Amino acid sequence: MKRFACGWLVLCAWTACDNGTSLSPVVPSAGEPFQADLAREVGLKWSPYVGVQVDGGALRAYEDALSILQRAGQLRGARVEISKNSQTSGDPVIRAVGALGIELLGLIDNEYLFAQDIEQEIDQIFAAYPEIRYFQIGNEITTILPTTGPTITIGEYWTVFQRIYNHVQNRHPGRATLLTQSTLGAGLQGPSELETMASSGLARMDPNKVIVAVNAYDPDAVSQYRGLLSGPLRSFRVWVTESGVADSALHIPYVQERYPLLRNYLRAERVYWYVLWGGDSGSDTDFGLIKSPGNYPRYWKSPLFELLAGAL
Amino acid sequence: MTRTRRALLVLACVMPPLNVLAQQPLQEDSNGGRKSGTYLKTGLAHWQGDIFSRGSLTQWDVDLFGAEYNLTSLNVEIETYFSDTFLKLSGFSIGYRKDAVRHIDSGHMFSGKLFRDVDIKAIALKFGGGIEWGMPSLNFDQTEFEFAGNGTVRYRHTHPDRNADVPFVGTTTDGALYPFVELSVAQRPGFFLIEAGMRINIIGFQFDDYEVSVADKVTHVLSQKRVLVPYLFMNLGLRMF
Repeated sequence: MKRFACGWLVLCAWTACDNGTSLSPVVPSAGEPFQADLAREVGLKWSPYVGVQVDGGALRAYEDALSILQRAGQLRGARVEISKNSQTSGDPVIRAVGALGIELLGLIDNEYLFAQDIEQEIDQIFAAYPEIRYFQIGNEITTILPTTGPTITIGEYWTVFQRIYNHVQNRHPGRATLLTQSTLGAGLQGPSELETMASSGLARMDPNKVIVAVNAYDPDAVSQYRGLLSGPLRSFRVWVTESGVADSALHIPYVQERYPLLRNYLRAERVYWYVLWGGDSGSDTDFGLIKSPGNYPRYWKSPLFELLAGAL
Repeated sequence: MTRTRRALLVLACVMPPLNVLAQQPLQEDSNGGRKSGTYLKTGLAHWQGDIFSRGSLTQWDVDLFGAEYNLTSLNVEIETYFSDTFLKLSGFSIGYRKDAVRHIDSGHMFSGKLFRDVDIKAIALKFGGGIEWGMPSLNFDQTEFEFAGNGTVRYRHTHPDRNADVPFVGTTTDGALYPFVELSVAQRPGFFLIEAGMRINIIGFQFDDYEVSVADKVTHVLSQKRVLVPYLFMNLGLRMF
C-alpha cells in the first residue's frame, strides 16, 4: 500500500505537468505536404500587422519586404513611431510605408507627453499624417523612458491622454481612434497601470473612440488583465501592439502556439509582430522578420517571413 | 492518448482490490462504531469541455477526453470525518487545487466542502457541496473570431465571471467564487483513503459578442449565465489523526 501511495504521488505530478507547452523549432523543409499544411496553419493564425521602425537606411528593404507580405495577403497594417524630428511635413519612411496601401497605426512618441501645448502638437500631427486614423498615445511610458531625462507617472500620463481625447472629440470629431499607451503584458505593473487608467476615466470613455493596447510577449503571463477586461473595460476593444520572440528559429512555432492564446485570453483583435526589422540597439534584433536591410536586395529573411511570403 | 488518459488507465490496472486489504468493514472503527479521523488527501482531476458547443458543459461528450478544453489539476485536501453524523453531515474538508500546473499566475482555487457518506458494503457513497474561490485557470477564456470580407470583425469572448477579489494578488475583482456539488465513492482501509468521483462546478460565465465595423463602430451584446462544469477526480489520502 505504501508503494501504491508513492506511485500515486509520482503519477499525479507527472500527469499534471501535461498542461502547457514550450516552443520548439519547426523545420519547414520536411516535405511539400508538410510545408503546405504548415503554411496554411501559420497563415490562419498569423495576424497581418507588424511594427516598423522608422529608419531611412532600411527603407528600400522595407518597401520590398512589406510589398512581398502584402502580395501574399499577409499584411494589412504597420505600427510606426511618430517622433518630433519628423513631424512638420511627415516622415518620408512613414509616407513610403503608407504609400504601399497598408493601414498605419501612428505611435505618438513618449516625448510628446511632456509638451506644454499637447493639443497643438496633435493638430500638427493630424495635419502631417492625414492618411493615419489610428494614433497610439505613448508606449510603455513608465518603463522605457530613460531615467536621465524626464519621466512620467501613470497619473500624469492619464491627464495628458484625457486632454488629447477631449481635444480630438471637440476639434476633430470622427478623425481618429486613439489607443492607450501599451502596458507591459507580464507581471502586475501593466495591469495595475491599466486599472488606474480605468478608474481615472478610461472606463467612462466612448469604446468607439478608444482601444486598449497591451504589449504581450508571453500569453501565460497576461492573466492579471482578465479581471479588468471582463469588468470595467468589458466594452473596449483590445489590440496587442507588440508580440514575438527573439529567436528566428522559434518565430513559426510562436505564431502557431502563442498567437491563438493571446487572442483567446485578451480577445485581441490584432497582434502586431515586433518587429519587421529592429536595429535601434546597434545589431539586428532576433525579433526581426528581416535582417541586414542595408544589403538590399539580398537582405536576410526569417523562416516565418519566407513561410508567410509563400517562398518556402 | 494524453498523459492523463494513460495515467488513469494505468491506475485502474494497478489499483489493489481494496476489499482484500480491509480487515474489517472499511468505514467502521474497531468497536463497530463509525470510523472518524482526519485525512490528508492528494489527487488528480481532469476537466474537459467545449464552451462554445451548445450544452457541452452540461452534457458530456462521448469521447470523454477529446473535447475542446483539456485541463489537468492537482489537489490537496484536509478532510475530517466526524465520529457521528452532525446535522446529517458526516464531515467537512478544506482544499486547494492547482489547475494547469505550468501556469503560475492563474488556476489557484481554494474550497470548503461539507459532505455526507452512506456505507454500501465495502465502499461509501459520498455526497457533498461547497464553495470554491480563487483565480480561475486561463483555459476557460476562449475567443472565436470571424473576419468578414468587408472588414467587419465579429468575435465572441467567453470567460468565467470575475465576481470576487483575491487580496494581495492582481487587480481587483479578478477572482471567481462559485458553488459546487460532488459525488464520489470512497474506501478507508487502515490508514488510507481512496476516492474517485465527479465534482460539478456551477460557474458563472460571461458570453460577450462584439462586432466592429470597418468604420470602427463597436456593437456588443454582453450576457451571462451559470454553467455546469464537471470534472473527474481520484484522490489518495493518509490518516493524520
